[in-house]
Amino acid sequence: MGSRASTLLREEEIEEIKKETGFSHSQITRLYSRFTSLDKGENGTLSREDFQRIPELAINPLGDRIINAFFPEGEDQVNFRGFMRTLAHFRPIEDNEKNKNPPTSEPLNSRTNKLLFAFRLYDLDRDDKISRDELLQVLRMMVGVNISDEQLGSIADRTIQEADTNGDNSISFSEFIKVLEKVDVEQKMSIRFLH
Amino acid sequence: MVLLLSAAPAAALSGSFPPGLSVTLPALFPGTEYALPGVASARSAVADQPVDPGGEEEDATEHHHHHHGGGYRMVQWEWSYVQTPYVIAVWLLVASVAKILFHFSQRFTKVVPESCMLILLGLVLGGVVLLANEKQVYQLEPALFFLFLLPTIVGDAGYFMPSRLFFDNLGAIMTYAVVGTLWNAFCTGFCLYAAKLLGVIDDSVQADLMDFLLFGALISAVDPVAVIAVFEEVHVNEMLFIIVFGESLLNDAVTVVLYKVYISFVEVGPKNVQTADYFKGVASFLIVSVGGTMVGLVFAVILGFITRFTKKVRIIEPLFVFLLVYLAYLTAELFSLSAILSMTFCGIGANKYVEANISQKSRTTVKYTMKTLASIAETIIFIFLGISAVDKSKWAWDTGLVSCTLVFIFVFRAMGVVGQTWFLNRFRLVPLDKIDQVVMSYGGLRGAVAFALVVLLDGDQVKAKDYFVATTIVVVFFTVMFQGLTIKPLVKWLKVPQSTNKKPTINEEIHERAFDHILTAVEDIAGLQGYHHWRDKWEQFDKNYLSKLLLRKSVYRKSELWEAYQKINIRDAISVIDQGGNVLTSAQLSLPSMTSRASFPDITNYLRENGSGVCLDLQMIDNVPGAKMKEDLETHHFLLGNLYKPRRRYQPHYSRHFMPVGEQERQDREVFQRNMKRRMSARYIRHKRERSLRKHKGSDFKDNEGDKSRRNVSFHDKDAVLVSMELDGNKAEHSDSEKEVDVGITFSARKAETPKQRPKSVPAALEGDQSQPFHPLSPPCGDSHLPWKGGVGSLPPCISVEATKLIPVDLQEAWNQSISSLESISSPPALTEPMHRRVSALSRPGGSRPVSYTPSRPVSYTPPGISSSASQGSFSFPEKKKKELKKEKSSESQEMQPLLLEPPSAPPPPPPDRGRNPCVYLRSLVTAPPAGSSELSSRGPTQL
Repeated sequence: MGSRASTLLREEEIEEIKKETGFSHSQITRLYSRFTSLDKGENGTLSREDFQRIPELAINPLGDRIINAFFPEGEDQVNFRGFMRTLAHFRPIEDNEKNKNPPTSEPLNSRTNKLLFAFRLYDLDRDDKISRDELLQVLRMMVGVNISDEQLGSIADRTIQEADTNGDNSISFSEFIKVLEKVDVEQKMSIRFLH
Repeated sequence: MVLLLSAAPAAALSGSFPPGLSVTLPALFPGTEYALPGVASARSAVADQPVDPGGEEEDATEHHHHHHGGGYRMVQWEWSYVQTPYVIAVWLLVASVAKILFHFSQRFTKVVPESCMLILLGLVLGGVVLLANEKQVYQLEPALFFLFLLPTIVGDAGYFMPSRLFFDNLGAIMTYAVVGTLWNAFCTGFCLYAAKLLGVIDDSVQADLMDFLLFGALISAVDPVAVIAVFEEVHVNEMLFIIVFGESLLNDAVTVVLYKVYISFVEVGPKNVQTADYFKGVASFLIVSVGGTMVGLVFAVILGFITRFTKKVRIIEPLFVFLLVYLAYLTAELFSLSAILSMTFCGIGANKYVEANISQKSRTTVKYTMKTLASIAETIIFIFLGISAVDKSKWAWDTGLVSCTLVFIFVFRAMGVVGQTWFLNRFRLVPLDKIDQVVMSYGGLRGAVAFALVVLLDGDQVKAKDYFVATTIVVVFFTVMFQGLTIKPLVKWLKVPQSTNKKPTINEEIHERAFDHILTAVEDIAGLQGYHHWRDKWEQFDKNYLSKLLLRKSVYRKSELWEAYQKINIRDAISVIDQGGNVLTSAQLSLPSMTSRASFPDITNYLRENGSGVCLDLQMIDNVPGAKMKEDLETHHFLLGNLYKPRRRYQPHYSRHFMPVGEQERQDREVFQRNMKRRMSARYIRHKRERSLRKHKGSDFKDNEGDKSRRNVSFHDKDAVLVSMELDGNKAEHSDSEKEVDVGITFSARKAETPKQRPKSVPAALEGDQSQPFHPLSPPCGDSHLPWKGGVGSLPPCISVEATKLIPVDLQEAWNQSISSLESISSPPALTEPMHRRVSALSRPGGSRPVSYTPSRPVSYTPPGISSSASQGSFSFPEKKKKELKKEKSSESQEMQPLLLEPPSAPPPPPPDRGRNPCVYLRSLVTAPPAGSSELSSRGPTQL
């Protein structure tokens, strides 16, 4: 599968992805083989069903939300470029990237972009605010059924109160960044992609 | 400890504590004047001998001989009887006092680590002992150290190990612990041997390769005790700390195996070692480390399982923790596995389940006891290290050996760290940078483990033992004192990221959980079976099997997030108190910043937002027979919210098996929780009412005097019923002013939610009240439905519907309790306030409740109330006060308007009416209607 994948991927395409996402050549080919193995329809794109076939995602409480995050708004297919673009959020920030002069465009794996990815998982209606209801939905997914609505509600209230600085009873993205400013997001939102 | 202290004879005691014992005691006990020196000389003669039970006995008989010689004595000298525990206790005392002394000077302790000071103190004490006895009689006994002192420290470290951080960095920790320690041991050993061959080390050091390898093995391990002691004061970031500290714990297996293997090699002689023995060594390493870990995990499971069933024996819960963690250590020692590994993993493994199972009190007990023990063990270790150093018999100094060892351990540590880090960084998500590596190299402290191991060496087998002991002492002192002293400035100079020592907020708790799920999902999508993949697998396993087995059913059903939420709430509460707030005293509670006003919109909001469909309208409850009944209920609710605390006095309870949560305490906790809840939301809505709050703040206290008499207006010119009502209200507010805030929860919410009820209920109240005296002997037919008529166990029908929904789930139990407890109160304890005579006069004959609850009573019992209050002479100037009251009320109701979340759809009762009729005024106090009256009600306590 791996050899077939690398032959299907054109060199210039790899270069472009490399530039855009910062993945290395071998990482890209490795992920491409993963991509094609997920692509049961063999049409070069992944559908939601393709993602849902991953058994571990079925038990992940946020699985559906994360699958959705792979799809651009209004579309239900994602190609390899888009797939890589989403995965690039989770690339660890490397030393040489830190020291580099700020690039013209912010890299996908910057702290802000990592946070934005998480933020979008909550923000269903894309109004750049996490409302109480949106927060409650995610909380309900994460805690399961062991907890009563009242308890969950008070957690949500407390969460919003803590983060809400402008009193609109919801968490905006800037408030989201602020409330997580002490968290080592660079580490906690990164995974190690094999070289 | 016995080993050590039986070797510590009376003589030493008289030497080391001259002022306390040898001077005053003979004076106190004349009969022992000559006994003491006698013992002293006898013991100092055998002081350098190993422990000699026979000699001990001799002393004892000698003793007895002395004091039984002179017939019966009033006071007897029983030193031999108490010696062991006495010396232990005195040593502990010395260590503890030393700690106090060090912390007198803040500036000093900031610069000098405690461990340095303790070693210096030990040196001084050792010098004193030496001067007194000419022989050193105290030293750090390996048995004492390994069986008692080390476990307390490791147990504490393991149990409170931040497990997530530990497992996040497990790969690095294990690499440093195993590879690093092996590297250090071999390199140090070989290089020392090379130095010996080169002649740098003196010929008097009779050691060959095996001896040096053995020495290298024991000197190369980073010591957990020293690392904790030093790093705790340095506050480097947690990742750095966990790596160094985890290494120091996990390298025990390597040290133990190397040490044992080399000892056996030394015993059989290097020439007889066969190739197979090396493989045995490797196998032994696997057995020792894996076996130790397994023993620890087995004990962790046992511990978790046991604490599942300790509900009825809460008082000994902490004991299980200590015993099983300690048994894990001892069991591993029993099978000569790695005891430190065993204990560490027992602690790490059991922590989650134990903490969830045991009660809050037990948790605190475990925490403090462990910290106390670990702290004192650490103190003793360092003092004894100091004392052990002052011993001429042990010292065999060789400059070459000492300096070579110092250089080698430092160089190889640094090389090892750099090499391993280079390797590890290829795989690590967060690479360890150069600064981290410097701190890790510099933080490779050696300590008491090395010392205890070197003392354990057999002098006959290892000829150079004395040299090794001296070198070890120097190395330990150098690392703990010099490196310990300089690591702080170094960390500052290198600008190592420091630990922030902050506790996670609820946002962080939630979002980090979300992050974990996200990363797991991304790993699954990317087809990587990485760390998060396995962590998630483990969590699934834990949730599906382990937690089911090890957690109580009630706990298992709780959500971790909810637990975290509660923990955060409690922490907030504590920090509020720490900042000078006192949630449980009246003074603080009646501060405007958290008056009960906050509660009305808050609770309403809470309900509305939750959409819980609570029936907030009392009239919806069918079996309330009328307005009268309803008013009674309201009164009852009001008192319910208000009355409970002062009626219960703290009752000293003694039970060997239980520490019952005192009623008082339970109430306090409930009140506390409610207050905190309110305070949190008060902060949230405060901006809406900031202005008016500030206004009232001033008036609250100014009006104190005037209010008293104003309140009493009604006594003067109204009939008995009204007086009784007034008393009722007064009593409630007066006796329990700090509970004022709680009032709101039950029925003020109802009022605010259903403002339409107001106009109906107020006139009804008026009528009901006025008609009341005319039907004194016919209790309402619905009386049986009153809450206080219901059974103790079950909720009264009238309030159960709304009340249970209104109160947060975790408070329901407390709520039920307060309802049932109100019933059980026969008569309130006498209050110290001037009001108390009336109050008690009213409630005395009432039997199970304040008289004024039932409509039939007031008539017959108010006269004493009137007379007593009249005799207090507090009824002056009624007319004037009434006018003031009226004025203030109307202004207040205006001010309150913007504060209401929802403008009341029905107008409040006309002010003139209220002013004229104190009964309505009372009602407004009692039932907390919207707008101005609620303001009044909240101000009640301060006015009193």
